[in-house]
Amino acid sequence: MAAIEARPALVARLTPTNLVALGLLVALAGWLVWNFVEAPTQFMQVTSIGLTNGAIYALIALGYTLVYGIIELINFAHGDLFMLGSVFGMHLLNDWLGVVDSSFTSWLVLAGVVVVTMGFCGTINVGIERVAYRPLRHAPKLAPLITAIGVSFILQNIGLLWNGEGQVGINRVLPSGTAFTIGGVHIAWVSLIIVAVTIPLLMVLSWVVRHTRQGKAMRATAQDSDAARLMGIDVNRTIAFTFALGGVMAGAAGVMYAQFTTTTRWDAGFQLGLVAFTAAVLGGIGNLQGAVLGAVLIGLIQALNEGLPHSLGAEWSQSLVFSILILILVFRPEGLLGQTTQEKV
Amino acid sequence: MKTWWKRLLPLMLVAVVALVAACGDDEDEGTTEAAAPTTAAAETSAADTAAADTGAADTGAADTGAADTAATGEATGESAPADTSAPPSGGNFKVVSDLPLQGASGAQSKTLVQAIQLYLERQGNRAGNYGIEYESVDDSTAAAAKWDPTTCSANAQRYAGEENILGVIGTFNSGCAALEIPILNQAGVAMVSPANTGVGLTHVGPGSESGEPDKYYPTGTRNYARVVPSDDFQGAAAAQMMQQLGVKSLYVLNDKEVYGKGVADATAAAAEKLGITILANEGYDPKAPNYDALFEQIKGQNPDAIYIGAIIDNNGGQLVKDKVKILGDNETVKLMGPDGMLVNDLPTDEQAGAAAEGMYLTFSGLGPDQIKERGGAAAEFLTAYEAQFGKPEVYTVYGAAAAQAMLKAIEASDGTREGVVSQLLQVKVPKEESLLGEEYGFDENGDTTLKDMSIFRVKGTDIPFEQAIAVDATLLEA
Repeated sequence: MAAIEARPALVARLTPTNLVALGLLVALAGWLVWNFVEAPTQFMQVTSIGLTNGAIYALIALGYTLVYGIIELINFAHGDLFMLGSVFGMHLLNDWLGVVDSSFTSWLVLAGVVVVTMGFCGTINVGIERVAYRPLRHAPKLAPLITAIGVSFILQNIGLLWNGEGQVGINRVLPSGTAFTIGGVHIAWVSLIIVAVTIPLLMVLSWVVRHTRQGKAMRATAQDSDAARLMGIDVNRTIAFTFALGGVMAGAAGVMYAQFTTTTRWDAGFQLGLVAFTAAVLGGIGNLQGAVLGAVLIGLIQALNEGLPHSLGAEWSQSLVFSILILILVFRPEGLLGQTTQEKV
Repeated sequence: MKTWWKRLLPLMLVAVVALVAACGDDEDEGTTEAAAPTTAAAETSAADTAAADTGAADTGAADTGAADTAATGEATGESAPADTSAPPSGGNFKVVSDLPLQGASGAQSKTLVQAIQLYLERQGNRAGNYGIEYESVDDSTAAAAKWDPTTCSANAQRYAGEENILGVIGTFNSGCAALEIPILNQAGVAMVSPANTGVGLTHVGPGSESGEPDKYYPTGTRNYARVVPSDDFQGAAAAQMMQQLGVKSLYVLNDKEVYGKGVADATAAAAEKLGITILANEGYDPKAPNYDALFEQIKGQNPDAIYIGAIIDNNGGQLVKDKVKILGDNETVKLMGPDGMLVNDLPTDEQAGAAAEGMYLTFSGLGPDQIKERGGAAAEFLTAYEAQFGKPEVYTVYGAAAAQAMLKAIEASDGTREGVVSQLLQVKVPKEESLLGEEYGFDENGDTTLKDMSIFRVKGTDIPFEQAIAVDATLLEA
């Protein structure tokens, strides 16, 4: 969460490790160029899919990184909160409000649903923090971690009871067709809208953290909660606010995801949560920009691997994502944009 | 610092959740006939059930066990059909069905339970001199939302241990059968499946793996039979249909399960023999949020048709939607799937919706209407079923046929497990009694002698019968 400091370039000196890293990067670039030259349209089309998936991952990844940044807790329940958001948003839109087709009014209703779902998830996340994490604030680190896993299961089961065990279809309210075509690459309305919703949300979040009083309190609490308390910052309220922000992002991601894939399921949060958590680690956990970068990278890696003519194919996507994670962590243990953590004494 | 009640908050939350979970369980279990060893499992909060599935593989579901084994009443809304007319002689034997009652296949499985119950009632719950009690057992878990490997094994262990169980009607899924057959083989319990189509369960052929089928029968005696033809037939039918449609190149996807991979392999093998180019036979991730990128890659290869070897539960609906989104409708690029995708829900909003329009589906058997046209006992039974329960699914009548074969074997036996197993492959159901409208029996591998094979095609929200296929025998060679 702290500002990014200037640091030496990736390949500062030609050590053997750095040479290996460089070699891998060159191989990666070669692979991309090979595919691009052979099928440029397909390459760009797949890239657009990867960016859209990445945008959804980013909204979830932010929740992980915000919470980790402030209390160093990996909130495993976050992916499931996202799932509850998608289920709630779907029921609110399709069932309770009865909006099932695409029209201008439906889009306005959808915008309202996004806001309400953001509020819903924000409230739940604050509630979870209050009930499950705050009492364990001073307990050993493992206790809240296990609690988070427990909360994750509880949320999954709420989703299971609420939504049934199978996939549930969702009526898409966003327009389904192609927004525009550049050089044979079709950009779908849905992708465009998801990116158009994600970017402003990220900017607002970034602004809140950097330029508001509450954001300053968050950064202070992240650095040293005791010192922050001595300075008169209400640490509990600040942490609750952080959870609210994370929840709001999960709510937005839930509705966007539901509109994009048009199905949801009670365990949708597990795999996506894992991916988003990985994205947060990849980018440098605790770092907002890092989470977004990591999420977009994972979205792209998955899509390129599944969609390019010369690739390992869909069967290997997860293995590939995690191999890349391992490689990056081997060369940069703090993540792409993360800072080397200093041991707190 | 903290007041006492604040410390209690987490406890209260847990209590509320446990309560909700308990209510959920009550809804699921319409009966009290739960097997004794499973009662404790059923009481555990749903949190445990979910815990099991969060592992990458389903095999982690150690404690879901048979939490839902007793779902008998769910299908009919009444308690288990225990033997009401106590038999005058011959003891009290039990037949169980082992089907996935939850998940996307659940709706179809429940119609099988209804059909089995109806058939048994019409037989007066008797097989010759023996009174027969029936119990429906679930091999799926809510957490997996489909058949669950641990539950399958646990179920089989339970049947093996319960002496009065003479036969098992099941399973639905070949992967589940692969786990249950060896256990029941050693216990000497007969098994008749209404729906397993995995080739290697009974014989070597296109789609079987090395070591099959012998690894399923450790005692060397066959205790398993099925009333539907296997996937080598289904693959051949799919390939012949594609040839008929003028397909030159085919992209095959599979869900990486025993069944899905098997039927995909069989289809690819048969299509290749017919001169169709197989662009790939690739596994997909059933938990992926969408398949846009995958279909973009496929689009680059420009296939004439896509074949999805999978069960609907493995995100089948999403695959169909994304296929149409990227590759266009199913007229332009043909889409075909096996019986595992053939559920009445497929063209509804719950699954693929309008995207399924024009999709071809192969089925190892005939549709209910075609069986009805054959007249006789089959037509009579289906009419009775429809009057009571409404429209049957494709496998519904095969559930009753499996029960029919099982009762025949019990009737001919001496009332022991060994007796039933030794009679099983001798069963011949004459045309006038057959619930399938034609005479059927089993060959030495336990495969049905009735080789019906048909194609269905989605039209609107319905999946009507398209045509029957006479399978070309040369396509069946391994």
